[in-house]
Amino acid sequence: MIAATTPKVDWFALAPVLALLAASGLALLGAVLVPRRRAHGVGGVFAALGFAVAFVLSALLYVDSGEARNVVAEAIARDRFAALAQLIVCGAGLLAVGISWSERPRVEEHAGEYYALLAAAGAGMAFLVAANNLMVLFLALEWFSISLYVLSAIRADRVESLEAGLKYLIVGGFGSAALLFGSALVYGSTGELMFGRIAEATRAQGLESDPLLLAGLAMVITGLGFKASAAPFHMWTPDVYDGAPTPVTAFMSAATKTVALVLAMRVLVAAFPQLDEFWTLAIAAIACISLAWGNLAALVQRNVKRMLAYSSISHAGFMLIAIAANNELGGRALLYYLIPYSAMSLGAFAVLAARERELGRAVALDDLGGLGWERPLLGLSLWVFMLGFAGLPLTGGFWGKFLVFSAAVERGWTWLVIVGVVATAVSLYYYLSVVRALYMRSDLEVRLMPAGGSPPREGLLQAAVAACLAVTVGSFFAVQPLTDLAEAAAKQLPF
Amino acid sequence: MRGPDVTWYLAVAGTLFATGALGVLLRRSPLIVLLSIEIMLNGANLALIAFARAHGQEDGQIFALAVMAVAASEVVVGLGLIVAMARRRLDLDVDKLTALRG
Amino acid sequence: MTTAAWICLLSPLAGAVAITLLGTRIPRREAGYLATLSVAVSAVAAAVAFFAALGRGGEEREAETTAWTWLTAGELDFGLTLLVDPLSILMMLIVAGVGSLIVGYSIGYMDGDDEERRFFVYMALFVFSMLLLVLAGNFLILLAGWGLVGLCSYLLIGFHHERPSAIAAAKKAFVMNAVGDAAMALALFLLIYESGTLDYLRSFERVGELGSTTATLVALGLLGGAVAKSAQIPLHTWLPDAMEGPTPVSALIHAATMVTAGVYLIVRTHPIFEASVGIQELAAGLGAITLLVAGLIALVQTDIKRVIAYSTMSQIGYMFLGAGIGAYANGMFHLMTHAFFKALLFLGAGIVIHALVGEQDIRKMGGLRGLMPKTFVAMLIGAGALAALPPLSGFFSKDSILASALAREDGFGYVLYAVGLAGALLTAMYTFRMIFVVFLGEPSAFVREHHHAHQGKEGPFSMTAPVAVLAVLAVIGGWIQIAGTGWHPLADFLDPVVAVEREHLALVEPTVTQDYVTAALSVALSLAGIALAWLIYGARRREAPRQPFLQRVLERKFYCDEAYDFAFYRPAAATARGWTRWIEGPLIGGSIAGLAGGTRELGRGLSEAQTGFLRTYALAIASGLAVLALVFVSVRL
Repeated sequence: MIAATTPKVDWFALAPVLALLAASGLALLGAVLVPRRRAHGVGGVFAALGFAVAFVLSALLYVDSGEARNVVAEAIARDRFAALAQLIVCGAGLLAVGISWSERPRVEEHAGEYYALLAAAGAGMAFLVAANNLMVLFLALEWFSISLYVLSAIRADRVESLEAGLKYLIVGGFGSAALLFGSALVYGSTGELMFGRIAEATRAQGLESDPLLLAGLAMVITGLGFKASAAPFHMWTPDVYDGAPTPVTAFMSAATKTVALVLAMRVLVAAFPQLDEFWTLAIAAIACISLAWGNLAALVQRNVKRMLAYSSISHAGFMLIAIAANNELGGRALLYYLIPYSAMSLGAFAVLAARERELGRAVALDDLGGLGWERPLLGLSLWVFMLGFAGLPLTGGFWGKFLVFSAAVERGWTWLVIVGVVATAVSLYYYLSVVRALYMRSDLEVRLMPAGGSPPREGLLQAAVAACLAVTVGSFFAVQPLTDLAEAAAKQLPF
Repeated sequence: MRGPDVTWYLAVAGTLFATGALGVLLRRSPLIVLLSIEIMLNGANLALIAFARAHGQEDGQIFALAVMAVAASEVVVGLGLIVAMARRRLDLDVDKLTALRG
Repeated sequence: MTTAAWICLLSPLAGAVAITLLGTRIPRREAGYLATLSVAVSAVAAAVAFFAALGRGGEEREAETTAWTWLTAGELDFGLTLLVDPLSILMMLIVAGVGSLIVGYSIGYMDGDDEERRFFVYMALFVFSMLLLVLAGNFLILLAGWGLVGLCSYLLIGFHHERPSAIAAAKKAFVMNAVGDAAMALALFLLIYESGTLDYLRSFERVGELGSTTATLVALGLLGGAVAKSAQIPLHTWLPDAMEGPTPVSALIHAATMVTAGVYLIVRTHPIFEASVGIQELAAGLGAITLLVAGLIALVQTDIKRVIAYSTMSQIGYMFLGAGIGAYANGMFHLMTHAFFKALLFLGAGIVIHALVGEQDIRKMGGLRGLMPKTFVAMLIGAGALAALPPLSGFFSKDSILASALAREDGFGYVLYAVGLAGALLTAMYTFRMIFVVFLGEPSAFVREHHHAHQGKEGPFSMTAPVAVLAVLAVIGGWIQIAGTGWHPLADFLDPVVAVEREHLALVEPTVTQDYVTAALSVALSLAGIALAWLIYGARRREAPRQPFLQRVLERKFYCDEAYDFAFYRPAAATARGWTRWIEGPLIGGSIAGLAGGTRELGRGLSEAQTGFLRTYALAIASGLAVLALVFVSVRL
């Protein structure tokens, strides 16, 4: 007779995930039970509710997790580090629902599924950031990735959407397989799956130079770098961002990057502290490649969506600097950076979504001409987002870069700061070219533009953009409270 | 422990993984590419199970079971996409998927 | 008290944001009402803060309130801190009070303009920035407010962006102010570096520990900022040009509030000035020169707004003089009364300009008294107050400054005193020249042709009501402090702020005799000035004296613009051209172009690597992984 013991489950720690799962289920039920023309509304409302409830629950979780501890048979880390990342994910999800709402006529057919998948992806992400062993890590990663594969391809009527979906799926599967094999090697070397115990086993058995462990580490870094779209594992990013429906791109660019980077930091710091000489240098190298590649390739883009995709690669580079610093300041910098970055990214793609809908085609740089005058809120916001990406003051992007660079300096890696500053200078060029396009319009263009009446009213999209704007600018002014939050979270990692 | 040493299992697992990776890199049919990814995952599964046996624990075996479920769902999504493409009479060739580039 | 201060500060900001966000959803007129309401709320809040402060004892009237600490960097922390004390409360009252009247006036003045909403957003934003400046509790916030008012001023001067002259004036103002801002920022960096704090109160406490050289340099930088913002010599040339902005803007920004910020700055940071060597005297001297020069130039100006603009410079010269000799309360007193009567004059001039469809040249005006009797009375009150005639407000405040100069009882004091008295004569002359030319005599041909009444009245209610209120204030505003009688509640109110280091100063309390002598002298001179103006311009009994050379010098404003053009602009432009041709072209230009081209080439190459082939992407991952794994393993082996 085998006594079956189940682990004690800390439901509260899982509450944000469960709320999002419930929302996903309800949205899916709605898709089946509700007449099709209402499905959009029902799905959207459930998804929004799910993200909102999960947001509140993560906030409570943050408040309640003054002491970090591992729950549910130590598979889940219940700490502020995870809770803060969940907050960002849920906020991004909520805004993504707002941005998607105006896509109504286009996703009508799959509205219920669309929102269900969005909530499911959010749930997977919320689960991922709390992962405390390699198995949960892999499962959560696949959970949200599979949701995103389908979301990318949801506009099955467009070849680009399908292509993006399939590319993401295949390249993503390749990356996941590498991550899994890496996990297997780490497990083989140490005999442990739990992050903390991997570190203990490494120390106890003196495995610092075990080739199995090192190869495993390389593969884990590859898998996570893939999800964070860091070069050279980034090549899927421009294509997928370009082909996926723009609201999905907005969500991916903010949330996927957040969870991938947050989790990368957790894994590397918690599981491989003895191998820090290897992974800090590797991450720093990857950061440099990402900065160079992302910025240089962005310079020559005419399609704004692709340009932003490359810009997101370069931002992954910036945030990887924070991880490479391997200190508490780096943790603080990463968590703070993610807040304005997510807002700017969501907002910028939201503006593009609006413009795309107006034009009925992909937005080239020249297509932004006059947007600043025609739709002042969107124009102004995009202007601010670009300045924020470039890291100019009056946006949170400024403090983000400042903190990241301080972390690198504390680590003693001034050369990394120099690379970052040069990359920032290069990036100014293409960010400002967007700003220039916004407010300039040649006479020729004025004549070509159809006089199609006033632009559509997209209340929720505009509200979402305004919220992103508020966060972008607000995080500049409220830098202290936000870094305090980030610091309290970063303290709970074993630096 | 009976049977071959864990190194042999690892060698087979590595070979499987490499075969799968080469399949992704070399084959052009999306179906075969999906299949190759499955082979990569199975290589990892084999490694997990072998290590679980070697360490005398069940963690790795549970992991492998979970991976199988994940792999199945990934394939389902992949096949769904391929069907959608076939319906639109697109060539089933990953090298023809170059509308997005640059 | 602090809550009221926060409401006072944030209400105009909320107004500006609301108008921006509502956009075309509200009619243009409502935008004006909304802006006025938001500033009026500010004024009420300022009054509440004032009475709350009155209810407290002397020392307790000072309160610091920090919304949040912005960033802590080691020892240094700066937050959004407000300092509410009698000085800032006085400024709040002036800014929000006069501001609400002027914004209300703009509803009528700007009626029908294409871009009213933009105008009101800028105005509300300006009031917010100005309040931020006066309420700042540390130098960083001060600098933020300082920069923001400069920005608003720039935007509003260039409000009519279709006029090239407006754009040029806006640029000029911006550049001049930038010079001052740079000086001030340098001073603040030095102060942070030396004292390790940005807080007013903390840094004033540590002023004693600074060396006198440091204090002097910091004070010099601050003075540079003050001089630029307050259009004192030598950074004064932007103010007359700034009259390109709409008249309410001139009234609010370029008369009542922003240009007096320099005086406020000196009073606020007086411990630093007192610790310096000679900078206070420099401030007083610059003020004296400015008041004389501006008064002379005002005599020959023909644009009604420029006349008032030069008189503003001249009056601020008096305030600088007062602040420079340590008579802070008197300087602030003049700042307050000046805000009333100068806003009155501008708004009155605005009604005239409005009635004459935008004409500003006084040579084309004349005989408006019969057509606009109420405006005439209002302008007369304003002019009387400006010329310091008793019992109007300007009399009390200006004389107290002069008496303080006399009380210095040294050579410098006597010189300042003499200059101030001469200025009084000039003030009366140019002011009443304007009044006589514009209002007396027979209506000119231009007036007969173009004058149009507003529905049988002199202006819409929204324009006449603020003028009436200001007229009353310009009359009674001076009665709160009467020199030589022991009735000085304003000085008592400001005492906790301005009296900290008073013992250090040689002077400050004029005797009763000095007060009376000054009053008698200045009234006599003012009357003489008015009489002269009457002889020449009012009764036209004398020909205007012909001094072609002098006149040309004055009309060219002492050739300041030309001198700056010659001394700064041309050499700079020539140097820049030289650099472009000899250095940048061959050396840097080539390599930069090469660099930029190379970078783009590289970008194009990377972009081409993005082939669209899925297998390439997988290959990139695989090779990245292989490199990582090989390096990891080989390094260890």
